[in-house]
Amino acid sequence: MRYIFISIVVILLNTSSVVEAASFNSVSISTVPEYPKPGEATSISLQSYSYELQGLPISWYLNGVFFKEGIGLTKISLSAPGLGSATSVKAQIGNITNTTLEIRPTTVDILWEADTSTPKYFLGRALPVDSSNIHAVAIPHLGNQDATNLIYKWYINGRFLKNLSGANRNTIVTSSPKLYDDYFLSLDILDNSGRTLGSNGVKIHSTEPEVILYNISPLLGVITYNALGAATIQESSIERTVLAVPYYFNTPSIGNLSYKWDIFNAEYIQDIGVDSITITDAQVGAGVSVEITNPEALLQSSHTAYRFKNYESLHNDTYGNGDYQSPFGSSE
Amino acid sequence: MEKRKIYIITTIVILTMLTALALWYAYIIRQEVSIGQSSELDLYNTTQELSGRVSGSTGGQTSESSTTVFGTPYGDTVVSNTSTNETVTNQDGVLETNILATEAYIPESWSLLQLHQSATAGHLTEDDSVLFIDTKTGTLLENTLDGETTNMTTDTIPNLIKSYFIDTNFILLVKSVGAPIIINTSNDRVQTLYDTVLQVSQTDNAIYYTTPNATRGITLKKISHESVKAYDVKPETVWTSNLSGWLLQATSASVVLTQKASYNIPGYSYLLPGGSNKATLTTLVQDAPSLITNISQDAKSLLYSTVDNDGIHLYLKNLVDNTVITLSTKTLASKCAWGGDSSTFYCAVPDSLPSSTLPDSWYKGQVGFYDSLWRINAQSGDALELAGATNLDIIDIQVKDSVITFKDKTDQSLWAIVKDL
Repeated sequence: MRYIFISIVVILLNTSSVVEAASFNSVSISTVPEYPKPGEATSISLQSYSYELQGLPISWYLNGVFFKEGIGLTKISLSAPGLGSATSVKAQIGNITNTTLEIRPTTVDILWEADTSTPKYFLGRALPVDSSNIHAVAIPHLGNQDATNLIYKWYINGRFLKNLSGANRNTIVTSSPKLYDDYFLSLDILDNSGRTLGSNGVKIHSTEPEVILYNISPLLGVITYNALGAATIQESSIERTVLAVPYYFNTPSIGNLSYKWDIFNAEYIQDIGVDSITITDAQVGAGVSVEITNPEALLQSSHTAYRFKNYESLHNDTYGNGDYQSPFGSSE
Repeated sequence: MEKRKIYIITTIVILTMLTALALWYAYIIRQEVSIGQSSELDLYNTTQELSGRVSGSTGGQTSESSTTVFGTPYGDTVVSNTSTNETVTNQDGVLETNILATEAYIPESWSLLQLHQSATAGHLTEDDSVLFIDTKTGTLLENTLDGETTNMTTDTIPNLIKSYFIDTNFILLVKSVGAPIIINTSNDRVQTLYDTVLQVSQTDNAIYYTTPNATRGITLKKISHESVKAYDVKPETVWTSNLSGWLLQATSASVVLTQKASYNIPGYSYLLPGGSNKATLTTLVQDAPSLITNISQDAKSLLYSTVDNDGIHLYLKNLVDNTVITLSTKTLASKCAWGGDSSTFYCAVPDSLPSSTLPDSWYKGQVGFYDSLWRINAQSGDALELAGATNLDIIDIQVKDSVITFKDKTDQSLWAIVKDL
């Protein structure tokens, strides 16, 4: 969605003061849509409570060049110019008056991301979850106009965010929607005279945190390109160190997350606060599960499980975030 | 009299045969001319769907060519093609041309080589060899594409994450422990980069990288190759953002900044011209779900992919006239690479797509692809399958004339396909 500003300049040139007064107040010009996008089909129409425009000859000019004329031709259509360009539209109403407007499309983008955890070199977006924060940045595209000292008015579901709005407030940090919920974050930008230059809005949806298990290789480090449960890689030994990587937990809480590990079928252990665990050869056929919780945010929790098979057939099972099934119940 | 009759009949038969031969020859010539005329004009007046293993344009005519079989490293590949057309104007008033298919190709044979079985941290493709870094050891190796691999260095560099070749000697090494370093492999001289390096992209004369800043966002910095070679590395700040989730791709005259993608979430991509911190961002693509971009080195064309409820879509945007072509090739733009200019690109195309949220699940290593590798002419839409139905999840493609190198995402091993002479 792009939002647009039109600077409308009405210039009335008349030969008598009487007509001047009448024309200034009696012919208005408007566009649909109100803020056309660059290149968007736009209709321009005249309205008057003083004149019977339907009976008057009306001539239209674009950037000073004749475009169309006709009796009662109160409406024309054209494509809005590109970003940074302007089209001057002039309507000459008989020899009574004329009116001009300028279409100068502008846009503003709203970019956002959540302040949630992802691996350092992860190529995907950090997503919002319950009790996380959203960082949003507005990038206005005003063509040749000055983009400094703009006023940014932010809204969530139409509710004005007074404390986050104001001059040069192009960046905000606000709470994410509740779990599985969404809201509409919108924005108006105005110049310092109070004219609206454009607006935009974006729907933001909260997802749930996720934990994914990866092997840690002594020489290669964390194998983040290949999650446990994704592909079968033949290895010479079952012994390995497994790392639980929390996706979409609050970044500021990342050092305080709780890890609860279970190894079953071989022995049972439970450990809190350690993000990795070593599986030994003695535990062939074992499964491992981990649950990560954020003690600072009750709904930020996730668990997953993985069953190791023997050396020859290292097929693996993952039980998916939020869809946990106990490996105890599975028959391999 | 009887002899004369036979003579006349024989003459008629011969003339008929000659006429048929002439007509057939004229038809063949016409077909060849039609193929040779695949042009931009054709593309924008007609559209071709890349639905076959080999495709091209024939001036808008729908045609189906005969099936051809040629050898590949995976056995014989069936080659066929069809075509249809569609041109539409999108909501922004931009002409979109759906490339539908056609025919015509010159048979080519390519051989698949595994250059390195272990994980590779980075590689540089030369005309007749490939330099690469072994992730486990950090050593520099060279494969001459004839089965020979030579160790170029012996020192071990542990904790390696990625490496970026500045040239055949200078290499930027990003490690999981310790600061990034730039090493001159010819004399082992090391320069330390006192920044956390997140994303890296480089041009012929500079390295660009992002590093976290104090406002929780990122700073884009630039190091000239000249300063690296003078052992006088002074990173220059190019741009800053209050957001951290950016991917970058540098060209000689600009840097493309694209928001990190997530399934069905709108993303934006911008061009930062001139590498100046005062330059204004120019929008390349806006509000596109799961947006991934890939710009040509001459900055004239942009491949970008989106993912929504209908699956993956790949587009080709002409950055000179802003026209957009919808390609029927279903792949992520990051699985493509441009040739030397914007006339040809190469894409790894999954033979089937997992029913999961892309690209997130792929980035997380939860799903993988089995790809075939295609060469596509950006002007005509002609496409040729170079390697079919591999069991490789192809990433990091590099193109150097008749050598194409890439990595398998599953185990980071290094591969090449080489055009047979």
